[in-house]
Amino acid sequence: MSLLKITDLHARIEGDGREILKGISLEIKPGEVHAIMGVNGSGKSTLANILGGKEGYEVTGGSITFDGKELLELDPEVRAREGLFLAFQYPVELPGVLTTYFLRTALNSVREHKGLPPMSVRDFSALVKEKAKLLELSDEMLKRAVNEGFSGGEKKRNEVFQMAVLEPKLAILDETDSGLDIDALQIVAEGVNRLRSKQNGMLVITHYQRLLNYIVPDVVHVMIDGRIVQSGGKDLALKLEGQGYAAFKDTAAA
Amino acid sequence: MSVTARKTSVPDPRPSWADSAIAAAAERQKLALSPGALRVAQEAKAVWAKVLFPTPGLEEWKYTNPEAISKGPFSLASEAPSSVSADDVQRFEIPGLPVKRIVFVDGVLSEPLSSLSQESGAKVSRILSKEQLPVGALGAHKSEPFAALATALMSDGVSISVSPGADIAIPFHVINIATSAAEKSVCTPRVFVDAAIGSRVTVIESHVTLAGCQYVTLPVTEIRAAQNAVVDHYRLQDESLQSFQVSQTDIEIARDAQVRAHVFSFGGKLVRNNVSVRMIGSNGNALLNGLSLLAGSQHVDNSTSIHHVEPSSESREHFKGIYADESRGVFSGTITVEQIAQKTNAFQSNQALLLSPNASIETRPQLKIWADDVKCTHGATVGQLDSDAMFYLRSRGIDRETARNFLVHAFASEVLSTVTVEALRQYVEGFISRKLDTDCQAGAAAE
Repeated sequence: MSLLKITDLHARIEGDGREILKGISLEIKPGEVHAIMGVNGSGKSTLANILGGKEGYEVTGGSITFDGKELLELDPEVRAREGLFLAFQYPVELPGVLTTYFLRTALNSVREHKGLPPMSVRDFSALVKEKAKLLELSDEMLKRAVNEGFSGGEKKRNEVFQMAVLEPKLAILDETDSGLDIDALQIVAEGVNRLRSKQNGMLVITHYQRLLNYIVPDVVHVMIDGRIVQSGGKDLALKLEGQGYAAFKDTAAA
Repeated sequence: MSVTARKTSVPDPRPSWADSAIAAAAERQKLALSPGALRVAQEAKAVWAKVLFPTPGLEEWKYTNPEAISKGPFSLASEAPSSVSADDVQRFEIPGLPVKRIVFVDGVLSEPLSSLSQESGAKVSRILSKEQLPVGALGAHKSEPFAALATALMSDGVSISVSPGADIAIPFHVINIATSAAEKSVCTPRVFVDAAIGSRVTVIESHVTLAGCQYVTLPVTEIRAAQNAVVDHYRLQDESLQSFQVSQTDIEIARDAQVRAHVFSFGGKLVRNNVSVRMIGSNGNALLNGLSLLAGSQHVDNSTSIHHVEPSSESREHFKGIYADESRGVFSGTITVEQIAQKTNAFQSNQALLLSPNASIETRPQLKIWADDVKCTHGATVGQLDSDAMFYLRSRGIDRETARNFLVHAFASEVLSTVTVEALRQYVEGFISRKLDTDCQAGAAAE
């Protein structure tokens, strides 16, 4: 069974006639890492937001199943509890919302959904400590409000840190590499790779091939103007880096 | 002729019940008040006889119509306090906070429930004690209509007088309890805080209820911070949703002194808080913070006035409101800087979070600046729950209602961060949580 199956997905921004996704199909099986590469405006983030359940988009055709369930019928919080995680391109700052309190509430919501008891404060602290170390987040950062005053790179590390704590079945990384220097990129990739397993899947959305040196994908899709114009193995990313998107645009037009 | 005819056809906005209440109060005052306090009450009576009763036609009352208070009718609360048990009082204690308790039941001081014993450094006296106390010294009753009425009706109150240099570590907690006997009555509890040179004191005033009845409370609090004194004052309103309150808080800040005053409004049908600050010495420091969380058809109006009359003082005020359903908030903030008051710093902000499309806020900053070397800023914002923040929280598995509550607490946290008494801050947080869970339906949350 597939973990995520997107079939002929069409979508637009609510109240805007222009179609942004023009028939996307892809299937992620457990254990697979897929990458979607495309330039700005190709519809990558729209796809990520629709998968996460953000309001303001209208799906005009097609379907998405996640772990056997109709994803589009689920509220965002239910998607998360079912094991879907969206690492945001632009994580919001939540002044006044303490990171650990927020994350413990999130984790216990997921656990409750699975029929598990809430995690004790002590176990939670131990878990946070372990995962924070992996992502090189300091105690001081964990004591702050969510993302408050974090640099771009720190916000991205915090996204992967949350992912590591929540242990989703499917992680969607929306341009997690943008704004990261090489050191931060390695830390983030290490965090992501730790989550790879035979059961879990990932959808890595990126503009650049660089990230895929560290998170090596099984399948690469090239997205142009709301369509996947070509899919292939990890070498496709290198080819794209070498030839540029223009070459693929031609195939899309042909 | 026609003018006279038109005048008589306009209904008199003044409460017709006030005269009989004042007459009843006069009987008690003659027996109980000191000559000085009696003089103040009589002065207030004269003011009340002449003062314009507020209507929305007056600029200061443009958005708040006290007609329902005027209609009443209300009568002077009984001078024999109803029986309230120690257990009843316990419900209104602040968990984990040792305090010196002063309890008013329906506007009357309950000596058995209060700790009036002479503490070292602070003297608590009953206004009825015939002692010569500085009641009315800050003079709000000379101009504010409801303060005039409250003072004319003055029948009970306490004065907390702190000796020079005394650092009173344990806060005073003045609990104003309305019982079912308060139905249709007017209560006028009075507090005078007199902090002498270099002293420190914290006074918390709670307005709570044991019954969901209709009454009007007109509390008057006067705070005089002498040179280098520090006073923290908190007013916490959780009255019956049928009740009315018009409070007057007058603050005088001498040289190098500091007063931090907070108003937290959760209950009440119609509430007006007048806060008036006079910065009468250089290097004085005033902090005024307010937080309202309203639902249903509640209406809370915070009207503040800060008057800088000497150079180099600083005032900061920060009022925030969270409004659900059809509730309504009003904020007016007047800052006056006299020509002599150079090097004044004054900062004012008012922020509203509307949880429903039917909730509203009116905000009215007024700066009257006669000095040229000052820093004065003001700002106001109105917003709804941030949809990106809501989505972020929900995308982590947190349900809509919990996510909303997170954001409401976060919005409030800036005002609560200046509550230096940790147990009190948690107590107020608890009010917010309970009110969100009971009165503010998640369905009303803006999406």
